[in-house]
Amino acid sequence: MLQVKDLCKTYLADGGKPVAAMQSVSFEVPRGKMFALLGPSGCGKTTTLRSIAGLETPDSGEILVEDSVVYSSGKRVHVASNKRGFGMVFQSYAIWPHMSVFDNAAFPLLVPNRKRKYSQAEIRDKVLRVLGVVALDGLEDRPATQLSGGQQQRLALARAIVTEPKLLLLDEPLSNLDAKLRERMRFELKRLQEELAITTVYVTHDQSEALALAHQIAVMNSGRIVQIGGPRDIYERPGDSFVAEFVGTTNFFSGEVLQANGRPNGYVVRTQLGNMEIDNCAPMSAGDKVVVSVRPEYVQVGNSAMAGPNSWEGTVDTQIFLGFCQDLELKLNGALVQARAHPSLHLQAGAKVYASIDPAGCAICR
Amino acid sequence: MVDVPAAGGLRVGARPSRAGLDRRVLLGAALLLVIGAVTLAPVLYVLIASFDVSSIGEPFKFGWKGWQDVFSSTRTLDAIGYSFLLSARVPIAVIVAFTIAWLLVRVEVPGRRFIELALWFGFFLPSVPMMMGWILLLDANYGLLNAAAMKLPFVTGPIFSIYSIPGIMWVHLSLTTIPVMVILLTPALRQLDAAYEEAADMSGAGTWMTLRRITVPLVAPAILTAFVASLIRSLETFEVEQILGTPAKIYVYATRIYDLINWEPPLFSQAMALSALFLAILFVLAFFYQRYLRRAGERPTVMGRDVKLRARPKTAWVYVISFVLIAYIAVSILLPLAVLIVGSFTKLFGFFFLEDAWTAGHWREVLTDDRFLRATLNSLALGLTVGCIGTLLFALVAWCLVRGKVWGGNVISILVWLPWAIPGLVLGVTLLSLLLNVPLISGLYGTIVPLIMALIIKELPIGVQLLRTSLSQISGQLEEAASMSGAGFAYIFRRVTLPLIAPMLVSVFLLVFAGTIRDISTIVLIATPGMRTLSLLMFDFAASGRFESAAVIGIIIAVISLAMTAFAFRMGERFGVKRK
Repeated sequence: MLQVKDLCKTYLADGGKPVAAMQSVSFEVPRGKMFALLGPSGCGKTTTLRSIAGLETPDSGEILVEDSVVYSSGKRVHVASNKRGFGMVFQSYAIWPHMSVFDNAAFPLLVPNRKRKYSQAEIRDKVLRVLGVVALDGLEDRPATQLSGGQQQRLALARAIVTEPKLLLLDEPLSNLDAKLRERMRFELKRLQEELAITTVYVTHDQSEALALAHQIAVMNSGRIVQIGGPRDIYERPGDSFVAEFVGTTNFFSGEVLQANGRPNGYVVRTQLGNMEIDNCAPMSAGDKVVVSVRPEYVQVGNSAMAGPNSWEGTVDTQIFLGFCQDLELKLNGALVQARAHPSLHLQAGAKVYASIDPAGCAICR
Repeated sequence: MVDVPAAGGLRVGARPSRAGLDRRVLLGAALLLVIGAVTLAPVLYVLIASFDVSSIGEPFKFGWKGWQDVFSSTRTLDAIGYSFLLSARVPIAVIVAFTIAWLLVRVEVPGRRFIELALWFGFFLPSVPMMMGWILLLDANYGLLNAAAMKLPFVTGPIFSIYSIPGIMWVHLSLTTIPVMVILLTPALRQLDAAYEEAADMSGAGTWMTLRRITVPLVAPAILTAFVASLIRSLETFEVEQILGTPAKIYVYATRIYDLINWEPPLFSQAMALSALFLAILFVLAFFYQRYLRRAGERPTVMGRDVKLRARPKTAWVYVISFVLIAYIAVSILLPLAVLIVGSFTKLFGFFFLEDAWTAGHWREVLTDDRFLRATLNSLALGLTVGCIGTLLFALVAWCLVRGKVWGGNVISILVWLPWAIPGLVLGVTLLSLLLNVPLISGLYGTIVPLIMALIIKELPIGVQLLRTSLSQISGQLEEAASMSGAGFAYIFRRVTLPLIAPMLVSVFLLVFAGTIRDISTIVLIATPGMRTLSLLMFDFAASGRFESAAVIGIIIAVISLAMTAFAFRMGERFGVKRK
């Protein structure tokens, strides 16, 4: 449905130094799916989104929506942003302070349109329905300035979807909300997106938001897409150490491949912890230098010795109790290892502890 | 909330602390007292003098005669009618200036820096010599443009006549009204968060609809400020009407007052009664303006982050627009200036086609004149002092009104308008009589201090209004954040508030500086011979018929102004918020 091909853009920074905001960014979003662009600030995700919106012009590349070209440097096409027919929610919401809630949401319907002119009754009907969808019904006569942050966010969403656009663009829509509201809106957004089956591109720097909402995630770093995949792929099989670290917390162990361990795609890697068994990874050969990534929740912790591969004995260095779990820093063979354990396990800092790492929970980053 | 860091974050909805309340009352009372004194004194003087029917030298005698005489004269009524007719230039200027400002900020036409600088420059140019330039171009008998037009086929008589209503309007529009409005509107547009317009864009709205429904309503406070300010100035201006209107028997409100004061013996009570009418009009305007701002809510439109601007993609149109704007600048500002410069080298002003018409004598004469050097130093000292002190003072007052929520804020907001209601000449007369009659301050007479005071009072309305609109567009959280970082009021003001409104500070400084070095009417009565400024020297030359020398000084004022504009733009860029 949305195809982005080879977008490039270079800015001149303050000192006149060129900065590459996008370096051949390409991806596709199937109809009705939610696609997240995830990355730290300044990675080019917002530039990519604004290029799709038509608010920014890339230096080169191509953008197609439903096989019609909205931007192409080769064919010299640039459809103006107001002719693309997309909906967009801005990070600051950009709710117009001089209008009521109703007028804000009705604005896209009032635009003179050759295809379709809406009657007063139709507009009223559509606006009230969309305000109902985002749970703002009853507030239509309020001045927009009197809305809370969460309400403004929902109004911005209502304004973006009132025309039932082909494509919805969300620029960090939840970043200005408090944590509780953000979690609730996450569910709301997911429900809405599935209900409306609207193709959505979602920009965020919050990995849990991307994992929770998106069908597909593209992780970006300094203008490039470093990995595209489903949430589970990205989390469990990060392509490199940047992705592993940015998406969640992880332990890195650098080492060298010793030999295959006998299971399909299984190897033994020598690390500072000792020899580690690793399953289910891409083929490697002995002598390869690799980095092993282990998520804290794959480090199993207990009070008694454990059987099986990758088992060590050590001490608890620090412990943080979070309620639903506890985060531990263990000292194993002189290395600090982060682990996440069930809250029922009673451990004190300095206590003796046993840990083991599931060979299937290790990922190889290069 | 001045420097109570602990309470800074709790302001919204929380009851103000006891200390905060006291401070606000004290600050408000002090502000009310000072602003009240400097603004109300001339007003009271006008009102009292309008009822004083005594002859000169006699003590005060109450009577209605001044009021009766002035408003029963048909000339007064005509003058008021003409004044309002001429003020029709203000709505025209609003439309043209908004268009130019929008093109400069949002379309980013090529050459926009040149255009903006040229408009500032045009505004700085002293009006009397520039008007002389226009006379040389548009005079019905010998104007160069008329002479050129008559060479065209089918043109039998002169096309333009500068001594007419359109002539006066054109001179004002090209030299002051349009430039000053562009100057006022550009920073307001620049501060508007681009996301508001982008959201409309993404809703499918075209440029026109976005302008009409989003941009204009959001900058409406700034547009209204520019409109009201220009309307009042248009009623107050005097020199152009005096010179261009008199031959065509067009009298306006301000020239009428001048006539009454210049009568032998002066008809003070009539002049003051007419001034009082102007005061009343201004009160009504200020009242509605104030009410509108309250209704519209002084809503912040700058969010702190994301103050970024987006250039529209350049198309061929952009170059056409750029060409039109530069052509407009060339015709409205550069052409009369060029004629003026050439005129300053003529033996007889405006007679270009005599044999042996040229001389550099006037330049030599002016530049070697002792008075010239002293006047230059006086002008610079006055311009810089009034510009710096005034801008800082206005920013403080504006801050107190917007953020401080000081006691009596409403009254102060109305009071700051008053100095505009008073013609410069009347303000000068008031200060002069205070200086001569009040023992404590009479020692200041003959120094630069009364001039500084008079000009700061004179520029108070525009300065405070502009900085107020600018401040109210900035979210209070930015200051609260600094307060929570432990910064005190002075530090916050210097490091957060002022840099955020830097573009407007630069504008206000330039406006005040220009107003100061251009000013004639306010200081002409209080400037002793040692305190003459360049403008006064020019005025003295023009009054004694030495137009060529007046033109020379006019050009020198223009050059100083240009240098100052360039310098201030640099400073504004260095200290302002960096924009992509």
